[in-house]
Amino acid sequence: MNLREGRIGVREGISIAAIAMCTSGLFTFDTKNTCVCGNAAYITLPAGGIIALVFFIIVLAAMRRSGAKNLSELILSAFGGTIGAAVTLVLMFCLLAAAYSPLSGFIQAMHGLFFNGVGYGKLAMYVLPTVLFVAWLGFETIGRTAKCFALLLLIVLVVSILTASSEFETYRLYPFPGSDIGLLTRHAFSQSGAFLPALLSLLITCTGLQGVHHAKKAGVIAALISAFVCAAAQLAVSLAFTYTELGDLFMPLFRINNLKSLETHLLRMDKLAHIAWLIGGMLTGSFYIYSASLLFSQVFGVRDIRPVLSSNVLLVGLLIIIDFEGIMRFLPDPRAANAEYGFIFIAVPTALAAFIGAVSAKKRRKHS
Amino acid sequence: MKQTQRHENKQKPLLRTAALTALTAAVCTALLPLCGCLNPVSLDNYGYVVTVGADVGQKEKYEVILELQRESSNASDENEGGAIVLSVEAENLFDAINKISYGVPYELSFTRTHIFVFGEELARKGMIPDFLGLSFDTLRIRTSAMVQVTHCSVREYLGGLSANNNANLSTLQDDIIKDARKTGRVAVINAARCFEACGGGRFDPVLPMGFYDPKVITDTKQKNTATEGENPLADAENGARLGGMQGLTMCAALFDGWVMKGWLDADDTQFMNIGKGDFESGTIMYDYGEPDGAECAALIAKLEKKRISVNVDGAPSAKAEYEISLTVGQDKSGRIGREWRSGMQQKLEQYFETELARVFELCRDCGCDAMGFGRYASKRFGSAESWENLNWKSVYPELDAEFIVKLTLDDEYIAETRQ
Repeated sequence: MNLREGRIGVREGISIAAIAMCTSGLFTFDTKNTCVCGNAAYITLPAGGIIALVFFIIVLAAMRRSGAKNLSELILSAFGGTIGAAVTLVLMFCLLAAAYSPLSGFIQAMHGLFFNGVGYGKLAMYVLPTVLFVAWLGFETIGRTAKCFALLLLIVLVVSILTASSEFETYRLYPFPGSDIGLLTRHAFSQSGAFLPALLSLLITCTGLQGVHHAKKAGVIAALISAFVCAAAQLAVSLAFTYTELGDLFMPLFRINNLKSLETHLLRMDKLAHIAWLIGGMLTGSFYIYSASLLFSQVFGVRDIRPVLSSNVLLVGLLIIIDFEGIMRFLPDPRAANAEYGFIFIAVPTALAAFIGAVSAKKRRKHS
Repeated sequence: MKQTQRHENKQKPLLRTAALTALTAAVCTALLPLCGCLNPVSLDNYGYVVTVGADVGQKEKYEVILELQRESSNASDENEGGAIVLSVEAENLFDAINKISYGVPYELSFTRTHIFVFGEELARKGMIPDFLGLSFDTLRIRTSAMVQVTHCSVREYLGGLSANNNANLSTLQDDIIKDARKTGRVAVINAARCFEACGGGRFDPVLPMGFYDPKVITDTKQKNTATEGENPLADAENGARLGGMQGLTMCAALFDGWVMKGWLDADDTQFMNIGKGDFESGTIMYDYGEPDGAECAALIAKLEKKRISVNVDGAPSAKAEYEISLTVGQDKSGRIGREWRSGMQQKLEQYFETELARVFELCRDCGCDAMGFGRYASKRFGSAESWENLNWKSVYPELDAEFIVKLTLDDEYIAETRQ
């Protein structure tokens, strides 16, 4: 078996899960849909994180009850081979979509802000081989590299926000759509989709994390940290832009340093911040693609993960090219669709697997 | 055998650490190309556009004027620096770039563009959004670039700025912002905030104004003619400003959306800035009201706190309270310090309130929510729909504002004794 799981500790698990959740929460966030009714992402996004965390804990409890060591075992024990394979494919495509969203977003931002005139394909050729390279080296490499970069990314985020802080005004938080609880709840559920892929990946890579217990610890801490970081960063974004502006802005965090007129030493460091965030995006992509490949390999009995990894990176590349070349223009914006409804495709099959797995385990215990 | 086994066991963690270090280095190396240029160009190949100006054109829609930083080729040459001004008539900025590119031996770069300057005629015709409707990203222009209007032609104003051969034109933007902070006699706004104002409808943009004074004997002229034995200072007209630049930036242009409607002088701009809450500090001249303004006091004011609330239930009304601390810079009679507790405080507070109300009415008559009351009105709404249904711009002309100013004297002893 060459599944390249390796073994990492809780800290590495926290690092990669937190980077993935923050990247998804801050950069694949669909401002057009969310901010059309007002500015409350700094509340709905952490609420989405808590919803995802509760879901994660429930699935983990089901895994413990059914004795599954990872998500693939839970799926197989709940659905059996045929339906299990179909569920696996759905979850795998959800993870690939979760990898595609930040990567395509970063490529688009790089094209817009740095390399205008350089085609999307060329930029993708810089990003995707790196993603494949890191994923190819396995889960241990992904986790340890994430640990190296986690603090750096946090510092970059804090410095970027502080640099722009003189431009913050509280009136931009209004009108606050607090009177519409139904709307806020719907947004919170949609935004749980930013946290679910990372937590799902932790469930898949339980073995590499040295067991369900460690995966739970890593997931809970990472989700809480990410919910806090996302809330703080979204609050900063909301203080810098009105809801009407946010509706038109792509990756608003990239623009936060473009507001301050007075030159400071840190002002033009934003390009470096973008590169740091791109590193976070690539690590996130590697993590999701590796987890999708691992799930596929475990369920379909593939003994070597590397061909699966390569195929999945190609699939993500294909999605990016389809998006940028406008081949599927008649379909709705895939990134927006993923941000709005992605959580359903992850939550429903996983919840079903958890429920059936736990019930069938109970039945098995009764019979024995 | 056992020894070899133990040695191998010891070596394993070391090898693992080395392998991980090598891996991290490899990842970083793989990422390095992303930190560099995909299309490297030498710095000499660029002409850095510092200011983009636009006026109404004669033959085409715009007269586009670009001011480029002239790079000093020799640090010891004091005459180097300053600006190169390029101008062409065009339909838009991209058309202008195309036309200018034929005649310059470098590529125009807008990465250092920090000010957009528009002529008053163009601003009054509401043509600014058409010109600014360009892609800032494509030209790499930051939305923090300031936007301003000139009372004279843009060509005159930019010529006035560059005639002084300032070594670094990029400092001009910082200088305007610092002036605004220290004096409050100029309005400051950047492109991002202009878009916010006109797109969001919670306030209207107020832009700094540029003026041209041809009588100013510039620093460069003083320096050049002194060596030739001439005396331009002595030959200058009485009352003419000596030294500095011929291009001046002060006051505030009032806009209703993207259309310029009028402008405030520097004294009124101070009160507009106080009303808006953008005033940090500045010297306010207080006239005792004696014939011919015989006695005036210079008051250094500092805005400490502001509280603004807007009520839109029924007739729209606003209540704006300000706490301002004063330091007496000059008061020949010493009355401010001496009579502070016996009526002077109330008198000055009334003066501030009257001036604020007067400036507010000037702005309101232009349809310009210069003080940004819409920002506070929006706080009363629980949904975007109800806020948008209000249509603040249609309510604003009916707004009745009450100004309450509380003054504190920083040091009564100094005010009284004038030490």
